Amino acid sequence: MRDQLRVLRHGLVVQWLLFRGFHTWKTWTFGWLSRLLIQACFYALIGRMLGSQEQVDYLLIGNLVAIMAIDATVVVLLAVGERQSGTLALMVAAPATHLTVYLGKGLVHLGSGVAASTIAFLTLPPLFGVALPWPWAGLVPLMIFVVGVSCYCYGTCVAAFVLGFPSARWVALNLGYLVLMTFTGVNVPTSFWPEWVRGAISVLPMTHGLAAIRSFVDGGPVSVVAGELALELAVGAGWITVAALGFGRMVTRGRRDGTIEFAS
Amino acid sequence: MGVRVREVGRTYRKGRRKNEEVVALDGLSLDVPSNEVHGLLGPNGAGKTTLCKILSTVLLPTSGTAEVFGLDVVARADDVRRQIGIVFGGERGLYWKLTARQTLRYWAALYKIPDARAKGRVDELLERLGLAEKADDLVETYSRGMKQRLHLARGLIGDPRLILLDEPTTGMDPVAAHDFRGLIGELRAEGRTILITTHDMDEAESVCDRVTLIDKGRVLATETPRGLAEMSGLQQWVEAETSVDVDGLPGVVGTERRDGVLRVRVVDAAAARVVIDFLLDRGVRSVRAVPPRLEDVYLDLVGRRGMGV
Repeated sequence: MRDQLRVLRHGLVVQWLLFRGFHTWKTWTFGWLSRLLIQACFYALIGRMLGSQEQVDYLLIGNLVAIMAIDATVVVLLAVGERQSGTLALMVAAPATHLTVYLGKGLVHLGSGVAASTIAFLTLPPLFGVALPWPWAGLVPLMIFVVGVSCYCYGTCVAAFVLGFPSARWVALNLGYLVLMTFTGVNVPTSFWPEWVRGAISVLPMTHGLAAIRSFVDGGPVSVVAGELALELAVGAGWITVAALGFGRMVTRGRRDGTIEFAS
Repeated sequence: MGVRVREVGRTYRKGRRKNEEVVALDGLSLDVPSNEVHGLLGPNGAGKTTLCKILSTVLLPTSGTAEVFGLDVVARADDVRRQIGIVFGGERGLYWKLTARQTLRYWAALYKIPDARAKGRVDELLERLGLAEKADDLVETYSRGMKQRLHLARGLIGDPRLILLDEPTTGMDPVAAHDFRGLIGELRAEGRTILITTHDMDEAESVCDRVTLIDKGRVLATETPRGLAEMSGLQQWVEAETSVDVDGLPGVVGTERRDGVLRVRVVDAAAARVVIDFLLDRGVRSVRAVPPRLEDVYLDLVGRRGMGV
């Protein structure tokens, strides 16, 4: 366990250093964060165009939380990054568990998502006239974090798939994220979908966490909010279990097929 | 025994429908005793890297068995991974936005080395590999030779008993390659077993206790570099710094020039004597008979395929 935590920590440190090599605070703020904020604004403006503050509230809250999902699913690209840098074979041949390394590295993107989503939560609602129950609304970033963990587990699962099919990385990333945007209640209420689709939606990350946040912002009962958050965590646990199995399977497949290349 | 390979086969499926079978290793057997520096020589596609990948547990054999210090690489892959270090040549396999120190600390964690011990181990390796002064510079600022030394430091971080070097001096300048060979000698002196794949015959001749020639996934021969040359039955060579024509002498098979030196290939020792006497009579003072070099043996056994690397 101590070994695993050390790997997790060093994975986080290394990815943070690589992240800093890629982003400065300026490029993150004016490039990445701006892109996310503009996306949330875009959907909120659609709500305004429809002439309903209720629609604005719904779309803005949904898309603020969805920002978390974008960052959390970016971990999909990490799997391919290791292949491209020629370190995948070295990782497989090292005694540490590959999944732990990926989890540690992906934590940077989880942190980036929490930061972006929280900044959006603090800045955009006043611009669109969305009323929040302050000071209790200060708990929302914690709920966003819970959603982030769940989305991160889902993203890691998709990354396991991409490990075996690297050419599908962009399709997997976009599809993985768009499935969440479409079905989990970001722009369209989950009640819109037929009963059988809702069954599938209930095992997607963000569905329950977003419902919890909406309920909390609307002044819903604490028991409902807590219950939905617990379900969100349970969904995350399910996805990380599938991710662990998927990573093991993809590495075994790579060893069998000879697709884990030495760099040269 | 450091490495024991028995009848290992490895095939790949290629083609759009994966219906084309390519044989990378064809029942290859090999023994590498502990504390030996063993060279794997062969043209591109001979199976050298495939064998290294199997021994390092990143590839499964399709038949046969391979063991590292008595541990089966398939059944006991986790145990094997604690015994090995992998080093390959070239620019990949490193994170360019990290420093050497950060790189080694990261890999130390992946080799389950506690932080307190890792710090000392990293400092020791940085010092030993001549990277201490630049330890906190980004890898992207390193020269090719420095990157290769960092590759080696990373390969040594887990204190491996077996080191797999896959064309480690690729792209190195002669000085860096020379220093690298010196390090291999040091590692051998520490009791480590080293398996090195290379296209560089001089390198193999200078660092390897024994070499194995591989072609088409099979072992052609395993011997000491000198023994391989002697058992090959190839003709001797006479080398001289001259421009005198010796083509017409009896026993001369052919001549070539390399770096201003005339190399005369002769059928046997008697013919070599004739050529030497002929050249000495014409005032040539720098002349000597030399046995066939590893490169000659390689070219004789493998042909000239794969030499254009």
